[in-house]
Amino acid sequence: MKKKYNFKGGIQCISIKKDPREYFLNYLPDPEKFFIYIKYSHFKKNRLRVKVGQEVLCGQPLTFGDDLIVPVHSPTSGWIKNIYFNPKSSDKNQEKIKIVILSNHLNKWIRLKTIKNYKTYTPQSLIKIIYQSGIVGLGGAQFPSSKKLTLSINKVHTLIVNGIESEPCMTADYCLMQNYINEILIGCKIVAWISKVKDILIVIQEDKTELILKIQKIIENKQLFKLCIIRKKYPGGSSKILIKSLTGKEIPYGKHSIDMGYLVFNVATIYAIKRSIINGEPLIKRIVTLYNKDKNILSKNFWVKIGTPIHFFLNYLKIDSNLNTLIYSGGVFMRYLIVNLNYSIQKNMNCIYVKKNKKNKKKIEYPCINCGYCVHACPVNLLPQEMFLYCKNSDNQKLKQLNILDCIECTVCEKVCPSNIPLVKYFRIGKKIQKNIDIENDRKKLFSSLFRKREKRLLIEKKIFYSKDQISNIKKLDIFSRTQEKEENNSINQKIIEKSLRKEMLKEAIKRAKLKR
Amino acid sequence: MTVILIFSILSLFLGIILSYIKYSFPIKKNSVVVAVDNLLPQSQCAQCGYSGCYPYAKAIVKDSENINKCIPGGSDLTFKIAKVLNIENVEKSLDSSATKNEKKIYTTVLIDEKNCVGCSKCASFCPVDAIIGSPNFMHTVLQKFCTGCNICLLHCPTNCIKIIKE
Repeated sequence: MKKKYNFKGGIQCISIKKDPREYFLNYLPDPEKFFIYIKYSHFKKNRLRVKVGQEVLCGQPLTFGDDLIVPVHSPTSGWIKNIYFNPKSSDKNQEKIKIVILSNHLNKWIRLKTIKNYKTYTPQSLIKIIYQSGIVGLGGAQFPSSKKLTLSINKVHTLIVNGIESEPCMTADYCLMQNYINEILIGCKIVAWISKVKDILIVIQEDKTELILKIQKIIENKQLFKLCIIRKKYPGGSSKILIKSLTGKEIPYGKHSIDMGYLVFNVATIYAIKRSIINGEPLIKRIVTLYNKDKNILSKNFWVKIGTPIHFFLNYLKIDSNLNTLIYSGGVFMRYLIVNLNYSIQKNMNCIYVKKNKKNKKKIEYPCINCGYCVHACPVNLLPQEMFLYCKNSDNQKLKQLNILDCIECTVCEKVCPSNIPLVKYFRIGKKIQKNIDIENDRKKLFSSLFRKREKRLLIEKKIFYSKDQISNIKKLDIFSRTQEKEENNSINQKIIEKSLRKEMLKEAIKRAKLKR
Repeated sequence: MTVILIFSILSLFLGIILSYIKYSFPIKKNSVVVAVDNLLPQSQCAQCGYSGCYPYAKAIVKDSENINKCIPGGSDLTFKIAKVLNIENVEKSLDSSATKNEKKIYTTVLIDEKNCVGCSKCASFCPVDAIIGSPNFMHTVLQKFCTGCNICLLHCPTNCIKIIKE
């Protein structure tokens, strides 16, 4: 058997999924209304392309997009019912636009431009196609793939295909690989051609034996591809941990894996890149796992169109959404509570987790006893126990020394903790404060440098304005040397005054002497 | 006896070397002024009566100016400067001043480009050169560099500059 890669820390968890029905892909019917949320900020304008009442076709772009924001596409054919602007958003810089699309259940597509031989195109034009089809990282970070690819040209030597789902109940990526492995391999080749990669590593967890055998058979004769197997552990999906466990190198804070020469892509992203280039489809649907904790049978994978409201999704599966059920986006470990059921499925949601609300059990937070379990479990070599102490006392300098910004919020330390302390909650607050301090310092540096530059500029202007013999006066015009000049002048003046006083005294004394005679 | 003599001669030599180094390579920047300058918000708003943050920091250290004149910094900043300069009894002086520690909201400035007549008065007064434009043409603000000091508001003859939240 091949070598199994491992990493420090983490928890081993038992795989819950046993039901073979989980691995089939199911389809959802179209809902009547789609809600599409668009990030919108005042300075980076994500301009709208459509009006209220306009008819749209499936796959038609709704916005123009910016350098950092990819355009958003219509998931269905129909007409636009309404556009809401919501300026009162919790985010500081990101106002949200909500577009409501009524579907006509026809699913008319726009004309798709297919490419058969992608090698006749230049990498730049392929990246442009990827940008225009609105592909972002589907692992959860939502970073535009086109930007990642443009940065990676002539810089990377290996492509890592991330097929790991460390969360125990998620099967979305596994399901995709099971059904569309050939298309994923074509996608890998496209990415390798764009960024001139020499090796391609496909990373899978050890418990998916069927898939490993299947991929090994396909790969056998191909030199580019390599298969890596990682131990079944949580968390393994983060790109930082992945590179550390595969190569042993650590990525320092503030640097990306591209700087080290590794390009990491999720499986779903590569599938989307293949669809966009060869089939010409923009990104309008993704696989979402539904996991119901109480009824294990119900966990399944679905092709869901982006913009489908969550209440429709739950109604179709006959899950009642009352006060007794909690609905999260994300898995067992990393999850966020969904409060508004009108919220729709976004590009970064890969799992919906339904759980019954148990009111009786309320966890009591005991004081920390310095047991050190969290230090052993932390996968990125941090000291959660000390960080917690400084977070409580809000000692920001010490927190920076402990590298709190490297925390990946995997909540392993929280699960291990015997006294039920919500550690990650504290770390999130600490990280926010730390980021604000950093932004403030950057602002200060920028503004002070700009001010100095202006002073210099004014000085040069004045030098040109005055004639050459007056250059000695120009020094006085500089603000920074002005105060020094003043002090010197004052001391000189005082000396002169003292001298004159003494002279007068002498004169008077001589006069008196003359009068006495 | 000899040991004491040797060490005394050695220390004399070292003292001479140190004093020579200090004489030949003097420290140019006043480290206290730099420390105070780093604490100040650097918005160059000139509300303290000085032309910028660096001159104010210099005035605090050298001319013993009041430390509570910075309005965007608030009373929080006064305490920090007092800690650096080792001043006691700050609270007494705080009572007399009207500075309040309000929550920070970053603001920038936007020029209504339809009404701008191109007098180029605002551009000449901006302390960080965030306004660009040539005379008799429309002016615009570079949002990235604007500190929100609102000096340009006073000098606009057509009142076309607005304050917006960042």
